[in-house]
Amino acid sequence: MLYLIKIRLKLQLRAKGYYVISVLFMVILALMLKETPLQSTNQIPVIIVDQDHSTYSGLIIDRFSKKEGIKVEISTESVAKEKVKNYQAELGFIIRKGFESSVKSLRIEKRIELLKNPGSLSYGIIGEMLVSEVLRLEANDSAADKVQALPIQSLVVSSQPSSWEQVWQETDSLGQSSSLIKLDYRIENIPIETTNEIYHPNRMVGFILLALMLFTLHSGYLFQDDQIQGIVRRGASIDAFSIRYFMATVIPYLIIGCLQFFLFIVILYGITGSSIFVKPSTYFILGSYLIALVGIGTVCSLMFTKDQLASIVPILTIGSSFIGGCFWPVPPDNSYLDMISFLTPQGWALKGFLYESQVIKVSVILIGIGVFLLIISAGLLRKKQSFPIA
Amino acid sequence: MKVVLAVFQKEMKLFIRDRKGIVILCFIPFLIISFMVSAFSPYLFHSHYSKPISIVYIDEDHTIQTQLIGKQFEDLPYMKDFVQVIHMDLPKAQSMLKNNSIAGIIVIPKGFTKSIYTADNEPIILYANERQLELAEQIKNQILSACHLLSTSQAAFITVRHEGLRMGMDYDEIDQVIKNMLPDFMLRVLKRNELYEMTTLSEIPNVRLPEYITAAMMVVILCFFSLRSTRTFLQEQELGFFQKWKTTPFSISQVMVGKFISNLFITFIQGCLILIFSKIIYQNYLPNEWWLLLSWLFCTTFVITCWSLLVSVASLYSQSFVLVGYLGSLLVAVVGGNVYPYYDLPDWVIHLRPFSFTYWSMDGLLKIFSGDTSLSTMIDLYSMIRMGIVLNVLTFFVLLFYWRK
Repeated sequence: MLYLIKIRLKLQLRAKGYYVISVLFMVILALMLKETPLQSTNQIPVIIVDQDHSTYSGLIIDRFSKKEGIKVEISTESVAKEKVKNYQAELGFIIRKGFESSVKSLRIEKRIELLKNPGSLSYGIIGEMLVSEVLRLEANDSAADKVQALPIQSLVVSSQPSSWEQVWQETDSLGQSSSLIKLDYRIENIPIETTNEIYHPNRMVGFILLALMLFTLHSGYLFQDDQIQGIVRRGASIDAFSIRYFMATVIPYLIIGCLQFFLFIVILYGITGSSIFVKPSTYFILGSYLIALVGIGTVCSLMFTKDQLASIVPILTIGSSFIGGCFWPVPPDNSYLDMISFLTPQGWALKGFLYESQVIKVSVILIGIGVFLLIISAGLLRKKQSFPIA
Repeated sequence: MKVVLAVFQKEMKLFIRDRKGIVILCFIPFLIISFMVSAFSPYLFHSHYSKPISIVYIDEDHTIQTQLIGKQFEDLPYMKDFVQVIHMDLPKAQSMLKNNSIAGIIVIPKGFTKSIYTADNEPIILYANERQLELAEQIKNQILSACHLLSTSQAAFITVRHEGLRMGMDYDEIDQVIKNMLPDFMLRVLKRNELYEMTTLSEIPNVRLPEYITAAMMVVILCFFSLRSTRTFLQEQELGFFQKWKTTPFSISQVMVGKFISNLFITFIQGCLILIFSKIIYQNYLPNEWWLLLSWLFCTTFVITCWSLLVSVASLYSQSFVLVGYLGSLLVAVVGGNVYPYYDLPDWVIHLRPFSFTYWSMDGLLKIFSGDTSLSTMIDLYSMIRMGIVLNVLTFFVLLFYWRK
């Protein structure tokens, strides 16, 4: 048996170039899709362009920059437009020339250009944050103007009437301190144990699952070569050959899958200095996933001809990866799609990555799929070659 | 020429013979496009920094004013796609918060409205989910902005009142002044968003979602279909055709030209079918200038055929190149921004985008779908032709090497 496995391994590993390419592809995919700008920051980037260069525009920028939850960058119009267009900033503000005089004359319409992209969601809330500061200046101006216009009716004024600037300052500081409505902000501590999430498997994990499936299924030609060459039929005459032969074909298949993945992890670690699969539980899932793939690959190699397999493997892999959520996460509120995704091994594997509590269940299901399909393929082999499994 | 024609006829016969394949080829594009339009559209143009928020709004005061505050979260145009407001009681809301299902709970306490009039200023309570803190902070910012608007107006009134009294005005007079100021302030608060001139920036032309997905996926689907032709190469190699050709009077280049033209023709027809059906099913815009659409389709099918020919020739060395071709097409599509929008990718990948023919194809079709005549497709067509020529040169050298081996 061991001897058979050794021969099988030697035979399969003859195509070294192929294995190098397959691992290389996985590494390229991982590097390409590793960075996910999403979730990388908890501050929303906002770009401000000051074309007015006035006291008011400076004051607005200064106050706005101190607000929580946003990260303000001051830049030029072209950079702002480029960054907003390329989703590197959620939105941008261009304070147009003449802004201060517009606020002073209480005509602020269209004095600021708000730049957003089709994906900007929080532009309204951030816009409100800025506009509240502009209205604060306008209220200060308005109050100062009004006080200057008030008639001095009696000389109860012990001191000189306040100047425009004094009233402005008084209103401004009052606006800062007084508030009709107050907010009691309470952060609720939610223990991590109550939710099952490890992390959101990103698209890179999805593509790794896809590549693993593509390469593992593609390696499943051995049965076909043996069938063509009549090895199986000849081997049937040897006592208890069939089960040994079957196992000796399947085990190297699994070993090579593991080897490819191990090499991929090592090379990626060498390049990036970090491992993408940190938790040991993820290796359980990947091992189980490989067993399921070996099961699928064995059935496919017995059901289809070599030519058919060449056409089917890419379509099957890409199609099931698509449905399983490797390209895009399956929307959680779409139960129909969620259900369909579990018809694929990728769907189960991704679920295992997402929920720590599901690791054992997912692994058992994937191993179950693999073992079941291996039993089916053993039956298929017996039927095809008309010899009993020992 | 006779040889080229004979190869073309043979390839066409092979294609037509595979009826199941033809049905699948017609069916798959619509399955993929429909699937993407219906299920994955929320992921395509999503913000990198915000995502839709679910909050619970609990109004314990039940006054007109508090109902108006609640309506602000639901009715403001910019909140509609952003914030989902759920109404329920506090224990249920707290349970949802513990399950990480919501970003926060806004509680308007009993007696809130009355406390504003009596200046007791009962606070609004916002319970923030620690695990969705950045989302809860946006709700906090929205409430604080509203508070800020009110407090600045209030500050102006207080100052005017104070200064008026200092100047000897009696209470009735100063109240009248403030009353006159009030409508003006209210109007300014209501018109506050007129401050902005809003501009939506996008590198993607203005198209509908089915048009975007058709443009993004069409080139990828055609690429996969075209790669099926590599099978015939492998079969011919296994049957020893390449060795036999060496003994015939015609050159390998004639065979290759025949194969190239047949593959180009089949891919072109498939492209036409996808465009026509997508027009019928998704009402995709097609311009009256047919030459524009046909020249785009020709350039796309040309570069795709060149790519599949290169993969075919490479597969003569090793069958694994077929697989590399499929995965390579997927990689090229990822780089080109066909699978994920380009801005979702790392900077170094974005810089590689001009080297992806799928990018130029998608860009060209998006411009055509947008109907914007100011957008020229010349650069897209030129880039695809240029890439096709480079791929053909590579194919030539690979084949030459194999032929002389």
